[in-house]
Amino acid sequence: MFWAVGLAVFLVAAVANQDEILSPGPVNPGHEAVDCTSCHLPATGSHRQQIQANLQKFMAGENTDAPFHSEPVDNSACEDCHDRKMEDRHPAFRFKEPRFKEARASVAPQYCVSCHQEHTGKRVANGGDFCGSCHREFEEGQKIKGPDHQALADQERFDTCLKCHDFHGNHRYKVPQELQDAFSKEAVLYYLDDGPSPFGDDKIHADREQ
Amino acid sequence: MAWKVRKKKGENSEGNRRFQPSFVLAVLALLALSIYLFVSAPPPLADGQNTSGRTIKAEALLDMVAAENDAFRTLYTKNIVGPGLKQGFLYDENWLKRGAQSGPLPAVALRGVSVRLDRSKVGLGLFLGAAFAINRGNRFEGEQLALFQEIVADKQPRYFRDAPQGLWVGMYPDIAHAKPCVDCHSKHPKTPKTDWVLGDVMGATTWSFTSATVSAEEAVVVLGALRRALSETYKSYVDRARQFEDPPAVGSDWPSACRCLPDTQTFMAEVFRISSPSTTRALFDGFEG
Repeated sequence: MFWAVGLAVFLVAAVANQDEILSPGPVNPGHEAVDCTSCHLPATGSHRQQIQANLQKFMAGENTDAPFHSEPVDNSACEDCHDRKMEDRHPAFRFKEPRFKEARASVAPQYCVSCHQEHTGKRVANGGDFCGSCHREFEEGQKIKGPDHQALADQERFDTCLKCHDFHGNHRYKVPQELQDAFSKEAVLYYLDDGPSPFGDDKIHADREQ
Repeated sequence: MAWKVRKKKGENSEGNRRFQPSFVLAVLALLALSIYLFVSAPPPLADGQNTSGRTIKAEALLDMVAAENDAFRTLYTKNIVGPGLKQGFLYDENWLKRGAQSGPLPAVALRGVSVRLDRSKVGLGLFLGAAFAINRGNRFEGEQLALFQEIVADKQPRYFRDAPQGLWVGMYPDIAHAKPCVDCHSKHPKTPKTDWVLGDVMGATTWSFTSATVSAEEAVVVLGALRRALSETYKSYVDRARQFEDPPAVGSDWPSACRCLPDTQTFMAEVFRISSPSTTRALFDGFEG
C-alpha cells in the first residue's frame, strides 16, 4: 500500500506542472509571468551539503538555519522588479531603524511581504489600515491640507488614509483635498485585492515585467 | 492465583533478547545516512565568516564609516551646495521629480547613500534623524531620542545593541559645520526650529551593523560598499545636472570658481583625500588578533 501511494505521487509529480503543485497558493496580481526561480534562488551547495550544514548548526546549538534547496526570499527579490530608486515614500529598509520598534512589532513593515504576502492572489493581504502604527500625532502648527488629520487619527479611522494617499508614492495623480472627493473604500479595497488602481496608471517608476 | 509471566517485547521464548527487523532496518538506514552525510561527505559549506583571524569590533567599523560619510557630506555641503547656490543652482527635496532643475539637499543626498547601502547587502544600515527634523518622519523617539539628548550635551557618539533585530548600533552627532546648513534649516517653511547656529548638533546619523565583529576582509568589503554608495549618489546628481535646461559644465573645476560641477572622479578623489588618512589609521588600530 505504502509503495503504491509513493509510486502514484511520483508519477503525478513527474507528469504534472510541478510549479503548480509546489506553489502554496495563487500568485499575486501582475506576477503571472514570473517564474518560481525568479524569487526562489537556488541555495548554495548541493542538498547533501545543505543537510550537512544544518546538522552541524543543530549540533552546535545555533538558532539559525542554513538555506535548504532555495535561499530565503528577501526584499531584494521584490526590488529587482519594483525598483523605486530613492523615491519610495516608505522604503521597507527604513523601518529597520531602532525607533520603529512598535511598528515592527505590529506590522513588520521592514519586509515587503508583510503587506504583499506572495501566493495569496492579492496585491495587499493585510487590509491596508496599518498607518496608525506610526501616524497618530499631527502638529497643529504644521499645515496639512484637507480634512482634520488629527481628528481622523483620534477616531482610529486609519481605513481612510489610502483613500487619498498612495503608500509608496509611485503614482502621479491629483491628491483629493477633502474626504468627500476621496476614492471610495470599495475602490481601494478592490485595488488591494486585485483590481485596478484608483491612483491611475501613470507611474513614476515602471515595474519590470519579467 | 496464578501469575501469568509476560514476555518482554524483543525476547524470545527462552527469554534471550533479539532485535526486531524494523529496529535493525532503522539502524542500518541511520548508518547509511551517516556514511552518506559525513564519511563520504562533500566539502562543508562556508559559514559566511571569511576571516583571516584578525577582527575589528562593530563600534570601530561604525566609527570608520561614519567618518567617511562625514567627509563626503561636509565636502558636498561646503564645496558644492554653498558655492552652487551663489552660482544660481537650486537644491531641494524634489530634485528627482520629472523636469526638476535642482540637486539634492545634503540630507536628501544622504538618503540616497542609505538606499544604496541597503541594496549592497553588506549588513550596514544608515539613517538620519533629529529632534527638530523638518520631516516629522525623521524625528527621534524613545531610546534614540534619549541618547540624542546625551549626544547634544557632549557631542560624542553613543553605541547600543538592538537585540531583537540583532544589530550593533552607533549614533553620531551631526554638527552644523557649514553656513548653508543653518541658513536652510532655519528658514525652511516647515522647520520646527528657526535659530540654528554653527556648531549646533542639528541631528544624528544612526549606523547599524549585523555582527559584533568583522574580519579584516569583511571590513574592506563594507568600506568598499560605502564608497560605491557615496560615489553613485554624487554621480546621480551630476547625471541629472547634465539634463538641466541650462546645464553646468562638468569637469575638474568646482562651483566656487565657475558655473560648473566637478565630475564624479574629481569629487570622490577629494573625499578620499580627506577621509583616507583617518580610515587607514583606524583600520590598523582597530584590528585585534
